[in-house]
Amino acid sequence: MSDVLERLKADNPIPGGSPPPFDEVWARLEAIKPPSRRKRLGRAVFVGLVGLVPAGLVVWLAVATLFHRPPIQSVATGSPWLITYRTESMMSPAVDSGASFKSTLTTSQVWISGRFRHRLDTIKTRLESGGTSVSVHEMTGNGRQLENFQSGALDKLGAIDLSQDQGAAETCPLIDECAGGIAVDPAVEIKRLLQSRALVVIRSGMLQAGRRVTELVNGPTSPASPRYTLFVDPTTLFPILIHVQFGAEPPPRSSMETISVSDYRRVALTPANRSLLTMRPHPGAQVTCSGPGGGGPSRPASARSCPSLAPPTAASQLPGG
Amino acid sequence: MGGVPDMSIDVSEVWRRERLERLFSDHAEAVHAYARRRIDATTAEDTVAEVFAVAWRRLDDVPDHALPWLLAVARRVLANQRRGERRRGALLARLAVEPAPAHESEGEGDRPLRAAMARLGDRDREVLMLAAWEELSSAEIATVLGCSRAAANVRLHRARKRLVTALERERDGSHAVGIGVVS
Repeated sequence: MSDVLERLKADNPIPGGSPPPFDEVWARLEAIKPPSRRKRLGRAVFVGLVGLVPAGLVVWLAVATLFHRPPIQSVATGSPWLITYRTESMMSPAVDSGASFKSTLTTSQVWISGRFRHRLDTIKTRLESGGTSVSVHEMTGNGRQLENFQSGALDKLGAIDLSQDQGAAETCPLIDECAGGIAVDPAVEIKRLLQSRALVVIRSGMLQAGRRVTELVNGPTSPASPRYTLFVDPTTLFPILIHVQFGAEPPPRSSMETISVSDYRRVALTPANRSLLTMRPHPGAQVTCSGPGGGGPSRPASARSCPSLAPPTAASQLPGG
Repeated sequence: MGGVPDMSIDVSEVWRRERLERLFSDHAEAVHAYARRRIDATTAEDTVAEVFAVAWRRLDDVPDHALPWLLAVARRVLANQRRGERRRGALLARLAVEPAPAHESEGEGDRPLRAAMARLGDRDREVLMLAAWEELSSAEIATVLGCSRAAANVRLHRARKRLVTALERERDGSHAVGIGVVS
């Protein structure tokens, strides 16, 4: 019986097809495309408002005649805002790099109307070579130990600079001395990169860390350039998870950094919020550092005694604070 | 909060358009060929457009292995078109029995086989065409027909048997006619 199918196969009247061009099909789709969720919501809100206007007028007239109200204080447009989030990054070196390097970094980063500050909560960095520990930095501030630190995690989106990544704490103790001291809101930067096609949407709608995300990668770059894979919130564009691959080979043959981002907030720059985010050294912080190449026992120290983790100075004061 | 930037770029819309373009570049040819084997060229183009319109509306439902899903949509679109034709008293029967009008312009082909196919019912003909012309696996046929894989296997097996029988009858009939002519 299989001969019958083979015979039918050989008698295929149209082995291939020439479909209409996509633009033609797309033009037809344009006519039938359903309105976006935002438009539908906007339409629903509009209809609702139109319906509420008469009722609102009646209520307003009643209230206005019965009660005296002080004028409402409106919020001035263009007022500054704060953006805060927490990151946790894990660095895994390539297997054939000859050295193992693992670091875990938890930090809260703060943007104030485009100007950025980092509030460092915990650093645990361990540098190893051939199984021997050569440098250990550990500092826990319980959310109060404050330190300038350029992790290079999200700011790399705008200006990709690997040299800022490893050992950034040693080379960049003060924000104002760092290249790119003016940072941007990561969501704004991602939007800009998407519009310039430097970031490309791969897929959308899948779950990551329990949230619906959109996957982005950076556009074609040189083989030496790191490859970024970002999982962002489809609505706010805020990054949730970032994978940075330093090399053409897939991990573990290339070094890999994984950054998870959480607690993203865009809040008003009120005196209370400003006070919460003001950077000041925390005298009780536990800092353990041993110099590179020492390999000796770690010693407890204050933040000031560890040059690579010098506490912030007046330069880290918030603008306008 | 007036200083907060507008984040109104619609990423999902960009992604949807890119996905649809990928689907189209990967499968439009196969969908068009599927339609063209069953209807005329103009209607086939309309069918392709309609299939991708459905895909656009239901993009979240389109599986990664999209071709069987798209062919299932094409099958329903064609069925709707045929129902419309039937209502208008058009030549549905011809469309069903002569799967591709282009067929005729491309030569006689295997006439006994086509005659045998014409003897089969729509369901048998469809499953055979999916297996032979669309070259789908039984799992893919099941997706297109909206049945289980086992059911698709059974349908294909029975359709083959009926095609063999129809071919034998066709041969016997031709033979009888030939004898009649000679005598």
